[in-house]
Amino acid sequence: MDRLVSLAAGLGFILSAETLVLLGNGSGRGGIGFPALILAASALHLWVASTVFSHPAGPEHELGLLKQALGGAAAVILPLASRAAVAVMMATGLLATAGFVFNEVFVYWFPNFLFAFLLLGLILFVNLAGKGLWRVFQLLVVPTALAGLAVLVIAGIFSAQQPADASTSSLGAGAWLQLGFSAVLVLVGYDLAIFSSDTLSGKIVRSPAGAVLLGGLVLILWGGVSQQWVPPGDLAETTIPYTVAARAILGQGGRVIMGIVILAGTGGAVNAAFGGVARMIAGMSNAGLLPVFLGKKRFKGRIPVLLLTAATAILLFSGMAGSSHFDAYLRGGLILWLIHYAALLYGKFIMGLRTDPLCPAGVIHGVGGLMLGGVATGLWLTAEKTGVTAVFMVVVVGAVLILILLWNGLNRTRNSGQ
Amino acid sequence: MVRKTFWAVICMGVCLVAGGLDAMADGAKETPRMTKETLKGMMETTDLVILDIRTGKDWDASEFKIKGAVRVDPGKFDEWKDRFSREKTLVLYCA
Repeated sequence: MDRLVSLAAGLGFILSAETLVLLGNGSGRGGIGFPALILAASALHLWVASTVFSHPAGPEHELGLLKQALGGAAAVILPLASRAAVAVMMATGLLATAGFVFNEVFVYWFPNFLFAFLLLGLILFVNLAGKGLWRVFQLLVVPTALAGLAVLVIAGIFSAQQPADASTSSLGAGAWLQLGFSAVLVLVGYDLAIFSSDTLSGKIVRSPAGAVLLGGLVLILWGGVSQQWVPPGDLAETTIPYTVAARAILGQGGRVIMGIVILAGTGGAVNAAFGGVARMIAGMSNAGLLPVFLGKKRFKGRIPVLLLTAATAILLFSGMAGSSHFDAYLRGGLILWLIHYAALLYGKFIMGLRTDPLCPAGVIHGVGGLMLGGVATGLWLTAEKTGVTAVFMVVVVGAVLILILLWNGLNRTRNSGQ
Repeated sequence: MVRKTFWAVICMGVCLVAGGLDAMADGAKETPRMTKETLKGMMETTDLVILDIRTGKDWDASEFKIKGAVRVDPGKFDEWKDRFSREKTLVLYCA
């Protein structure tokens, strides 16, 4: 059961509306080439998952690796800046989207932002009520989203109706490179699987790799079916490719099923993010890298969840989801997440050099780190708003750095006073 | 059980207050508004221009876009303000 929960946590982001938009637009532009790119990206992420996140599970291994290889500051800055920033931004965007879906598909008179806040409140309650309810919720919403997508995929493949013309125009090398970067992005977040359970800590887990495999398969199938049913130009340009494809396949019924997928997917993504990042923060606190009140000793580790929820609520209330820069901020957070993956591989490379400089596995880790670093750089350079994205990344990393410096300063003052 | 119920009430209360404040903030501003029935009745007229000023998720996540609406960035008013004749009725549509 622990491993199923871990798998469900790893699938959270992969089944979210943000990923389905990237998938749909990419499938529209790249045609059959995009599923092939996702396959290649899955192989890359599978290798990262197997190398870094499978053994042993929990935040301790990741923190230990970064601390030994790159120092204590890197052990906090990289995971905190990337995961916390994305957790809050992703939650803000997904909850806003869920509100629109609920209003436009199910209950037209229900205010969309009120629904977003209610869903946020529900997820907060689930995270505060204890691990049991968190697990049940995750095991309820993720299979619901998977089931909905499965129904649409099967209907799309076996329907007697004639699908749309699936031909695509040829793309240049630059466009294919951008699609390749998007393919890498759609699977980011599978590592949340390692934070799902205390009972898995220290054990070898395959859930991150399992999330990449299952998530990659679902995305390839849904992307392929979407291409068959929606003209490529429409699929590439629409902001809601998931609804457009579902409506093409099953009409109003498809629209309702996709509505359920989006709502369940939002619950799964935000719950996995909040629970995982909260546990990560608590782990950092228990390791002495962050203030004690953020750890498990105070209020059973509930403070990080409250902080994440408060930050999301403030962003929702301030209209951040409606900002024209929102996508740039989210992209910045995801780039930081990829840099975090690259840093972990680089950390393995450094540790490999220290133990056996001639070991080829260490060199491969280094090359992998460089590759992911290159993808992160490419994502930034090809962003629509490179300046805004860069400022966001600098601000987030800077804020975390200030937090660490303050905490370290406070610690030194306490120790010198004793 | 009592503690869980307490947290549930706190969480829902925060959300309802926040959502209510959001709704109240919009209602408190004095902006001339038009009902959708009135707009629908004007759709066939030639002197009407509907400007969709939604940005971010307000635009991206919404399935419904008004046919014939022109999308403009509300933050770049100076760039588009002269594109439309002053003789026409401009209706700004947002979330």
